[in-house]
Amino acid sequence: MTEETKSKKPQWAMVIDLDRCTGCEACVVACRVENNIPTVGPEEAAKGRSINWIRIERYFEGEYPDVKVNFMPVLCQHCEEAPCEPVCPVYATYHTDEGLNAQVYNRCVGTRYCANNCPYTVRFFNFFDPKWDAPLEKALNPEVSVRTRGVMEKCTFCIQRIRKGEEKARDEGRDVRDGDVVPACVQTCQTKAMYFGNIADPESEVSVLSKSNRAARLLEDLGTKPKVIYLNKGD
Amino acid sequence: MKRREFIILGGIGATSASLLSACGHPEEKLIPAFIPDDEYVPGIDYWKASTCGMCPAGCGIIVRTREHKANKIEGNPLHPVNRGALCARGQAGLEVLYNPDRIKGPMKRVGERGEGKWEEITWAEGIKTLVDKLREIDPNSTDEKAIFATSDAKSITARVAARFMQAYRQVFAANRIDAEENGVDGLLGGVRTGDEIFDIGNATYLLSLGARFLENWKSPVMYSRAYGEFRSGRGKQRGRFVHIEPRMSLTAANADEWLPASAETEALVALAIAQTIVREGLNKAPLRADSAKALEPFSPEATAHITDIPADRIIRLAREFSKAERPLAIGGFLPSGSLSVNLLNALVDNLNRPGGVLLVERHEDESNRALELPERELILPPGQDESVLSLRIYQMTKWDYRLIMIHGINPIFAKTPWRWLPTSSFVVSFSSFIDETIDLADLVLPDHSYLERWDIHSSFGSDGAPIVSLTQPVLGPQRNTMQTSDVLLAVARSLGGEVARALDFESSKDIVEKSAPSLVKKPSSEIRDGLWSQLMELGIMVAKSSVPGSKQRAVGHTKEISLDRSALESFLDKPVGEPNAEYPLNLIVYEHATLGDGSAANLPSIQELPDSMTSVMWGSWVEINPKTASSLGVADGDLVEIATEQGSLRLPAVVYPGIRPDVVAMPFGQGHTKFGRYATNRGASAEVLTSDFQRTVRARVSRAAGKADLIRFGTDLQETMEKKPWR
Repeated sequence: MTEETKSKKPQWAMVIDLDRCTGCEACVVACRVENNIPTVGPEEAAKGRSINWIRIERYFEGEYPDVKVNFMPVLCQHCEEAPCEPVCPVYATYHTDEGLNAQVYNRCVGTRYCANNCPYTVRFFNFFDPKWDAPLEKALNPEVSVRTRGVMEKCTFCIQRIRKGEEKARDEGRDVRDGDVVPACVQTCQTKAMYFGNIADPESEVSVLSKSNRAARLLEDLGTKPKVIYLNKGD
Repeated sequence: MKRREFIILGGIGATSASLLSACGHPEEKLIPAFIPDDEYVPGIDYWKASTCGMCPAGCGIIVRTREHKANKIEGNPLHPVNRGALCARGQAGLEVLYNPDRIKGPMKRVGERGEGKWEEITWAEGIKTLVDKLREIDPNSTDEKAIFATSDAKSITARVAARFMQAYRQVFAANRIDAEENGVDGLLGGVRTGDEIFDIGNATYLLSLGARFLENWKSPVMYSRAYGEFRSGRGKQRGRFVHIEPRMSLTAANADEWLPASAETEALVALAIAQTIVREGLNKAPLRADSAKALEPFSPEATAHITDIPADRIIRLAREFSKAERPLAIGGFLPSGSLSVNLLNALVDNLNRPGGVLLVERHEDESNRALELPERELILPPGQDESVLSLRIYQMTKWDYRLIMIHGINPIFAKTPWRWLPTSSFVVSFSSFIDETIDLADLVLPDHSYLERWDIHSSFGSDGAPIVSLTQPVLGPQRNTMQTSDVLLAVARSLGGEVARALDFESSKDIVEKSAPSLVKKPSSEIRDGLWSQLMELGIMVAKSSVPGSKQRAVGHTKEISLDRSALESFLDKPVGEPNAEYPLNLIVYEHATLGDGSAANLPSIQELPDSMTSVMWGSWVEINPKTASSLGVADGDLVEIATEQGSLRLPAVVYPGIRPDVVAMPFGQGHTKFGRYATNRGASAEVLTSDFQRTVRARVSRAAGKADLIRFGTDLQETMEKKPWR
C-alpha cells in the first residue's frame, strides 16, 4: 500500500436492507439513548416537536384486503450535495473530509433554514432546553454533547463511535476496517438490516452491497447524492 | 461548494469573502464543539454482562458504566439468544433503573388503604413485620393461608419463594409460560414434550398462524434475528412468509402475503391446510387412515364460510407449503390450538431438521433441581396434596388469603377476574414502582431493578444448544432496595425451623454460585477454577446437553401420525364472543410490541415511540377498517365510543386499512391510574371492555361528541403512496 492510499480518509456510508427491516423501532430508541436525545412529553409532541434522529416511515399500499406495507428507516443521509449546508448563514453545518454532514452546535443560532431545505425532514430543532427528570440524567452518554435550546440537531452517524474506531485503528497502526465503527442503530438492529462502513474501500460490506441490483437511494432525482443506500424488498 | 461561492460572488459581505479567500473548504477550520479534543478520554468504560429483564425472553445484554453510572445497554454479541441485537424495550432499560418514580425504600401504609400515604421504614422493621405476619399463620391449618404470587417462575426470587412457601405449607402462584400445556406428544414424534425452538432462519416457507414473532411471541429478538437470515441469509434462497391474522399486526405487515381470517379461526385455517395436504397426498410423513378421516370435516370447502378464506387460496397455500424445500408452521394462539400447527409440521416432517421445529430439553427441571436439598422430603398434613400449593395466576378466581405477597405482577391493573383485595388480608408488595396494586398494599419492600439483581437461568440459543445465562448487578443499588430473594432468606432465617433449613443460603449471589454447577452440568470444581469468572465476564456459559444422542434429537417423525378425533371436535365450536345485532363487531385487544403487558408504560422513551403501524404516541387508540369507519361516519382522528357488554371507552379512532371490516382492535397496556408520571392517566385501559385478552369480545363502535386526544408522529393524513420514493 502506498503512502497515498494509506492516508486516504474513509468515506462513511450506510446500507439499509428493506427486505430485512421489520419496522420494530429498536434503532429509534437505541439512537435516543446513545445520543442524549430528550423526550419532549405529550404536549410538545402534539405540536410535532418530538425528536427522532432516525424514524421508521410506514407506507400503506393498496386497499383491504390487498394491503402491503413498506417500512423505511429515515435518518440524515449525509448528502454529498447537501441542501442544508449552503443555506446556513453562520456555517454551522458543513461537509467533513470523511463525507459526513457535520452540525456545529456551538455555532448554530437557530434560523432553522437548514431544516427547511432538507428534503428528508431529518433535522430537528431544540425548542426548549432539554429536561430529564432526575435521576434520568445519570443515563446520559458522557461522549455526546447535550444540546441546548435554539440549536439544530440530527444524526451524526454516531461520530463519537467513528472517532473511537479511528483512534483504535490508528493505535494499531492500520486502516479502519469493517466492524471498527458501528453506530448505535446498526448495532441494535434486530434483523441485522443495517450496515455501516467505508464506501471508499472497495472491499467493505457497504461497497459490495451498494452494487447490488436492489440498491437505490432516496429522492435521488433531487441531486443530493445521499450516502444512505437502500436495498429494495424482494430478490 | 459551488452554491456558496455563487452566493458570495453575488456579494454577501466582506467577512464571507475573506473566509472564502482561503483555498479549499475553509469551514473545516471551524472547530465544532461536538468533536471533543483529540486524545482526551473523559473516563474509563466498564462493561458488565447480564440478562435483560424487560420481557421473559432473557436476551443477553452488556451494559456500559462509567463513574458508577450506566449509560448504554447493548445486546451481548456472544449470547446465543439475541447475538448482539436488542429490541426497543431492552434499549429503554436505563429508564427503569433511573426512573424518577422508583420507590425509595421500604415503607408501610399509614391512613386508609388507597389513600397513598406511606411512612418510610428501615429494612429491619420491614422484615420483622413480615416475619411477625407469617408467624401468625399456622403452617398446618387448611383455612388461613398465605400466598406468594409472582410472574416468572424461573427467577431466583420465584424459586426461593416456591421453596419458602413449600416449606411453610403455604401457596405459591406464578404465570407459567412454558410448553407444559402442550400435551400433544403424539405429533412430536413420540418424544417427551419439552421446549421447542423454531428454526426460522433456515426455513424457506414460513406459515404463521397469528404468531407475532417479530413483536412479543416467545423470544422476539431471537426470532427477528432469524427472520433477517430467513430473508437474505448468505447462500440461501429468499424465504416466503405467509401470515394469517384478522388484523395486520407489525409481524403481518412484513409478510409476503397476509390473509385476514375471521377472528379466532387461525387454528381452523391450519386444519384446512392440513386436510388439503393429506387429501392430495402431499404429506411427507405417513398419517393413519382413521386420522385422515377425522380431518375431513375441516376441508377448505367446509371451513371457508367460517374462516372467510376462499377454498382455492387454502389449497394453493397447502400446495406451496408442502412442496417447499424447508417449510415451517408457527402458531400464536392458545395452547389448545397448537395441535393444528404441530400437525402441519408433522405432515411436512420437519422435526429436528434445519428450518423446522427443533425440540430441546426441558430445562425447568434443571432449574428446580439446582435448589434441591440432598434429602428432599416434604411431609404434608393429612388431606393436603402438593398440587393445591402451586397455582397458575391466570386460573385463580379468589384471593381471600390471610397474607398476600405480590412480586413482579400488577394484578389490579392486569387482566385478572378480580379487582379488589380483601380488606382483611395483609398485603405485602415487592414492586419497585408505585402502581395500582401497591396502592392497596400494607407493606412495601421494594425489589431491585433487573440491572441491580443476581439471577441465573437455563436457556436455549437459536440452534437449540443449552446455555446458562447470568444476571448480575451492573451497579450498586440506586435506591434503598433489596433483592426479594434476599428478603425471603432473611425472613426464613428469622422464622427458623424447616423454612430456615430449606433456604440455607447466605445471599442471592450465593444461590447463583451454587446453582451454576448443576445448571451447566459440570462439576463445581471446574466452575470454581475458571468457568465462574468466564460466566461473570461473558454472561453466558454453554451447558452440557443432558440427553446426548437421545430420542429428543431424533430427526423426522419415526412413527405414523395419529390424531385424536375428540381433540379436533372443539375446533368447530362457535367463538364465545360471536357478534350479534347489538354488538356487531369483534374487538381484538392485543399486546403492544413495546408497551408489552403495560409494565413499560412508565418509560418516557416508550411512550414517545411512535407506534409502528399507526404512528400514535402517548396514548391509546382503536383501529377501524376504512369501509366500516365511513359507514359509521367516523374519520381518522375522531373520538369514538367503543362498548362491550362489560363497559365502554372513549378513544381516538385510527382508520386502519389492515383490519377486517368486522373487527376493531386496540392495544392494552395504557390507562394506568397509578404508575408514575409518564403512565398515569395516559390512554385507556382495555380492561374496562374485557378481562380476557386472549379472546375476542363482541363490541359496537359509534361516533362520540368531543375532541379526540390523538398524538401522532408525522402528518395527520394516512400515508399512502402511489409510487415508491426510492425508485
